Amino acid sequence: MANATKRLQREYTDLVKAPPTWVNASLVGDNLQKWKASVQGPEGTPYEKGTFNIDIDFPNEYPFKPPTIKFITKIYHPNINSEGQICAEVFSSWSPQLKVTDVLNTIRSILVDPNPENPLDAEIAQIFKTDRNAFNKTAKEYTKKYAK
Amino acid sequence: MTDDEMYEDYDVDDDSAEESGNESLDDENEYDEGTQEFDFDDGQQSQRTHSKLTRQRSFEVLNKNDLFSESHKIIKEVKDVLSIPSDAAVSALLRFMKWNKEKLIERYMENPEKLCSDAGVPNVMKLDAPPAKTTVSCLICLDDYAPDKVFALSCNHKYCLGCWKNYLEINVGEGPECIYTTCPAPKCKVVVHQDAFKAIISPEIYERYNSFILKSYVDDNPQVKWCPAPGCIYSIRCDRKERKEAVLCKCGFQYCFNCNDYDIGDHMPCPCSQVDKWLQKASDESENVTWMLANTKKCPECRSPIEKNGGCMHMTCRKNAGGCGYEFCWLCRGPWSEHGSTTGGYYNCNKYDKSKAKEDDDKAQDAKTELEAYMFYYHRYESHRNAMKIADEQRKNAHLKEQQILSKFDVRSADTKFLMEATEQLLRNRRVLQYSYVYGYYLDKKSQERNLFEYLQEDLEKHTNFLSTLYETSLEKLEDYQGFIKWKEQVTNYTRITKKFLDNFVEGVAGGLVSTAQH
Repeated sequence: MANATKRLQREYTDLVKAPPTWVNASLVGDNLQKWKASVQGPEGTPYEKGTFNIDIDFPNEYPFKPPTIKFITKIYHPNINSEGQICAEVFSSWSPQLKVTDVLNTIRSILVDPNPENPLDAEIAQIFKTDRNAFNKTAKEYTKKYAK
Repeated sequence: MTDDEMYEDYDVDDDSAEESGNESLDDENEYDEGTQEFDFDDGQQSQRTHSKLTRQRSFEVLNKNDLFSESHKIIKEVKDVLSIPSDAAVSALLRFMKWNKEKLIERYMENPEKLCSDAGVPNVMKLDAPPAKTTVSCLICLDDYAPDKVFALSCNHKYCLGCWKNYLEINVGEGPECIYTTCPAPKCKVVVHQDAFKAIISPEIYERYNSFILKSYVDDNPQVKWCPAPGCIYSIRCDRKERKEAVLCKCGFQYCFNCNDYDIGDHMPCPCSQVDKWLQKASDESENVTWMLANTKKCPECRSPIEKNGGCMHMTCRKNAGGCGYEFCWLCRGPWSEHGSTTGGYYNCNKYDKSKAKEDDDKAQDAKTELEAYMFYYHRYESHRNAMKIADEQRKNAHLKEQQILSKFDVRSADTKFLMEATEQLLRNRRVLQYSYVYGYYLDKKSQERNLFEYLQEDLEKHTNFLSTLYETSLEKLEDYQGFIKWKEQVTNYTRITKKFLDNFVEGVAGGLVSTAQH
């Protein structure tokens, strides 16, 4: 069936050639289907100055099935649960035309703009909606404590 | 209550049920409604007094080919009405509209553009994009392809055929939802039509895709349901929404179309609502009952553990298996010698004798009494249910016995047919008996109908057990051809008697007892 390797090779080469400033991606060992990335917390958000480590696993059917993303660094965010799993539209309405960079961009955009209407952690979403100051405070504390 | 009024209570006809405004009554009677004969076209109830219990055959067993031609008939009708040339386009529209032909035509007439775009078939006249003219870079595998190696739907998102194949085959592998697969482009809502699947994916996988289309035809159609028997490939069309009588699938499984449940099967003589109530109770009580039943399967004499693996209630604690030879009734665990009319005894095994419990006329005992009463019925229900569970094994054994008869007595295969008939009759009896204990449990404890019902039920138990014993006669006991013929005649006769008795029982319960027992 699908051969993920060829496209992953190309995507990896492209990313290494022209990496975005806010992310640093590399392979785990020499396995093209396992990547790790460190995302810089976007400026002007409670995640600013933090570095968040992410595991990216590509299924054999990639790109026909989406990669699995997991936050290794603990983060306080309505769309990311304590296991580091992440909920975003890009995965539920996946298209084989999308690439790793699209996934990374999505991650960055939900850090900038959390979506409390579609939360993975309802409690955090509630605080985000009702008491933004408290949310920002806790998120900053988490960033300081875990995302060094 | 006059006869006429009584019949009003049975009324199946929707209109008259509404007139009487008595839906709960209608509910209670749902089962026997189904057993009456009606002319539904004009709502007139015909021959009601004479043939109200005639078996109805208003259902149809469908195989894959039937489903295929039915769905294609609908596709063709829609094509003709809406003047759409392509089967694939209409099929997609129909799937979007849950195979509701009338609604599709109506919505299409109202606003064809909107319907088609919602359904993911924006251009029903042209499903695919025109061929590419130059080399195309596939946005999935990122390679370049000659124009004849790429394909696009009407949305013109071009991908190479290899990526299309992977994409579609992976989607089919995901299951039934693949029939709504859209173009791979992000957020594109154009649905991949059947012809594209056919042209691109392998024939085996296309076969699977096709069966999902037929599945959607059945799943979306309230009048057609899959037979719930494991592994059965048939579905059944039953045009009567209100039909409550069992349907018989070609796989041999007989069941209530309304409940459509393999475990429940045919639950005559109970109405569906009663079965629901019973099963709910059974699951609520299951812990109590399991506990109390757990240690009660021992020989009443020597306490050897006994497993019941045959059909009959007449148990013998086998000496050659370390038992004591005691013969007893599985249901009441009393000595078998007290059972049956030949001994002049009284076959009282289907009666829960409340008077005994009443000796302890203590209110604190009521809950326990109720549980005991329930256990009584549950135990009998389970016993017959378990006999049903080993039905397949019983059929297999019957076939084995047939073979033995053929070789031992040198008879024609037609001479062993009676054995299978007896097997099926026994199974049918057990099923009716099983649900008769549900029915009995909910009968008014003091009513006259209860007496009559229990009398009939007891007779049915007796006949069933007798047939079962006769049926299980060991071939070794039949010395010669004459002995075999005599046995054969006995079994044949008794099968016939039992059948008649069972039919009378079912019809009697459905027709005669319900009317007054519902209060």
